[in-house]
Amino acid sequence: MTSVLELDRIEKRFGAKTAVADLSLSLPGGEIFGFLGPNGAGKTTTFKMIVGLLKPTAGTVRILGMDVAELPVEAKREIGFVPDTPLLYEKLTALEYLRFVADLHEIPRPEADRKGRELLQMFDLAEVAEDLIDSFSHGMKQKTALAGALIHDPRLLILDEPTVGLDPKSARLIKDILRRLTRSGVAVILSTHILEIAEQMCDRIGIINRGELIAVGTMDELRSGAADRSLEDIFLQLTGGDSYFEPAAVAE
Amino acid sequence: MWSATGKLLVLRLRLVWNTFKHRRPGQKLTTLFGFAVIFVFGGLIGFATWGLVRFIDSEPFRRGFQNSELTIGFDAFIDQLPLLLLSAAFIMGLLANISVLLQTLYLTGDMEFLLSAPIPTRAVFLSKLLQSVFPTILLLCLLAGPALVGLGYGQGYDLGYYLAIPVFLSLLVLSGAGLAALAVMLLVRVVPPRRAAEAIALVGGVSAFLCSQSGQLMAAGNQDFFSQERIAGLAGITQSLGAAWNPISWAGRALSAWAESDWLSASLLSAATILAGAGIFILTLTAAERMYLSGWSRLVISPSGGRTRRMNRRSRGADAGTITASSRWWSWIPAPIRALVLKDFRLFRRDLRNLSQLILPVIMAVIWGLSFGGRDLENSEISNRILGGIGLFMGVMMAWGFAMRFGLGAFSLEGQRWWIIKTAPVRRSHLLVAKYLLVFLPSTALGAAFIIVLSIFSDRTAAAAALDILILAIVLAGMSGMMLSFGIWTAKFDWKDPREIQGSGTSGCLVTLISMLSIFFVLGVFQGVPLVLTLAFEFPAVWAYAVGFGAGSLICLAIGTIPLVFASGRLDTLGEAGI
Repeated sequence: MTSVLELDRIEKRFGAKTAVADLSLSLPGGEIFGFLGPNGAGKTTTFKMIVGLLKPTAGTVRILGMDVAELPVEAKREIGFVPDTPLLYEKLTALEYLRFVADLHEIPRPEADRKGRELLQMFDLAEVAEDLIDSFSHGMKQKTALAGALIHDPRLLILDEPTVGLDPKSARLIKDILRRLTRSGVAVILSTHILEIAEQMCDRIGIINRGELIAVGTMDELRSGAADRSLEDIFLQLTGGDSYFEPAAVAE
Repeated sequence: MWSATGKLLVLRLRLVWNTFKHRRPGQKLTTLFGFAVIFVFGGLIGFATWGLVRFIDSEPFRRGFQNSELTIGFDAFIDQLPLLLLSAAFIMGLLANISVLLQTLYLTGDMEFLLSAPIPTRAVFLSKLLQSVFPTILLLCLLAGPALVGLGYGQGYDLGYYLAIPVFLSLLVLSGAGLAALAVMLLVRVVPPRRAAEAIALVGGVSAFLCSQSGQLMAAGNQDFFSQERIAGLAGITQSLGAAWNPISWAGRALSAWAESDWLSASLLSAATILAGAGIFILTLTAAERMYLSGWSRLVISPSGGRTRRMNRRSRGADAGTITASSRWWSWIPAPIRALVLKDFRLFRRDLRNLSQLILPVIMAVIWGLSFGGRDLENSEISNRILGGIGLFMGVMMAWGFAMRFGLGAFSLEGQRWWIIKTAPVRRSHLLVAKYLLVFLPSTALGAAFIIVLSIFSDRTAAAAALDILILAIVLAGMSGMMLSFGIWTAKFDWKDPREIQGSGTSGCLVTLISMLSIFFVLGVFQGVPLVLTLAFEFPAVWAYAVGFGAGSLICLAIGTIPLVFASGRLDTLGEAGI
């Protein structure tokens, strides 16, 4: 079975600095993959390479077997992406934005309108569908961006910090939507700093530190025998975050 | 409070310094060069004031004065000139600060941090006010100061006059800033700050352009710049400004008194000016500061000022209609191209700050059209040709202004939303065509409209006008490709205000120079080749025009496509540096 996403030894260097090094990963359909790491570890850079915002210095990104560098348009048709900061066209209305994204994906207008209204309804945005995005709160923009990422029924959904700025109801809604999507074979890769979300939702978790993928597996595999260890303990141990406790103890 | 204000100002200085320090060497040099230019410009103003003083002493001005039945005498008018300059500085300070203060006080991202920090709100307000008015004060002092110095030198004023100039200028600009702060506070109670900033940008851009073109406007209206009416008007304004109740007139009179070493009057008037200026500044500052926090709270509670900007029913209906119609008459255009063009036109139309840039070529068209309409030429073959040539040239120049703004900003317009296009399955060719249409369509439409209007007023035949429009469209087809290429090369996505999009400095000058030369060359081929072939080689007119037309079209094709082919290679990595 072809993986929805396959990263083959990808690397990204900015001058002398290596942001992502030799990262390989395979993601089948129907799986939610949690991508964890400290700030500046390389999560967002990896996502940007997957969606074609950045060109890898080395390695290959394949979406459903298509090389993103060689078949960018075909590969991008299968991707839905929501960045960490939802910067949208503020002078478009929510519905106009969704129509615009649908047109870029060449979805017929009647279908785009129907799906757009359905998504806005689902995200509680139907009332403001005709309002300019510049009057939206951060959470509303986040939900509009998510609606834009879902309008073309992507096979791979990439979410960078999807729950930041969302109220509990919306956060819960997103979790439900993601579960529903995975049941229909969509692969989801998300980054989050809320480890509870990763623990509850993700089938597998990858931890990246200083550009290197240092651990990948299910929660049980990551625990590796010590059943009482939380994801927080594992994360801090792997990323060296537990060393901060010593100075904290000294300060006390 | 003063300690906190000082810390915030030091922080601002550090931010400015760090921004400068981390720039590339070329950008640093450009910044330093910019400062040098301002200083040189200030010096030039000082020298230009010599010219002004000489003109004032000239016969036409004196004659205009004597004939104008004014109650003010000539020497009194000269004495009032410092007042005129101080008033201009005050008004400019007031107007410039409204826009700057609106941005600094309400539209910067650090307000939440500052207002939640354990420092007095007054310190935040004062530091914001000072950091925004200081550059204006400096700029006005560098512009109005040399003019006053030049005037004093020309008239042989005493030392006290020169010493008083910086004091009065700073005081007046500070009072203007206080009033501007008050105006901003009142404005944001009625209009949402972002919308107000857009409207001010539009009004400011148009006003600045109209002022810069006032000479042409008067020429178009057949008015003499130094007419008696104008001189009388100037004297009238000066007289009104000199009214005893006007504190600026106290400053003007004080300067005149210092100029003549009238110590008693100078001291009294200076004291009155300083008291009035400082009083106005403190009063307006206190009032504005009280309104600041409540205004900011309203902004935080409702960013759009309590009203969401819902697209009205008419535009929704029109939109739906357009979609239905579009499915019929432009459905053959690929959906991504349609979507991109429609989106770009919507963004341009809905953000007034964009319109402020686009409206300038339209104003230019009106001014040039009026100037052109005022010319009386004989109704002969030669004059018709000249008329047609000039009309076409003006149309192309008009359209060039539009093409340059749209072309250079075509990709930059996306700003930090570039990720939406870049992650979408849009073919490079579709993206290029969409952006090309964004440049070509409006500029050609404007140029064609200009030629049609001119042709109607100058009784040119429809065939001649149609040929001109065809040539204009071909020239614009080439120019649009060239401008778009520059737009790709100079694209920047890290702007916060769309007015920052336009190519600046070296790249802006280079684009202007290359495109202007190309226009002259291409129009020369279109118009000159037939003329040379018929006159020098006795070609039949039809063949001569065909050769000119063919050669011009080929050149346009080359200048439109070759740079675009080179530039389009950059599209794959465009914006990566800023991502």
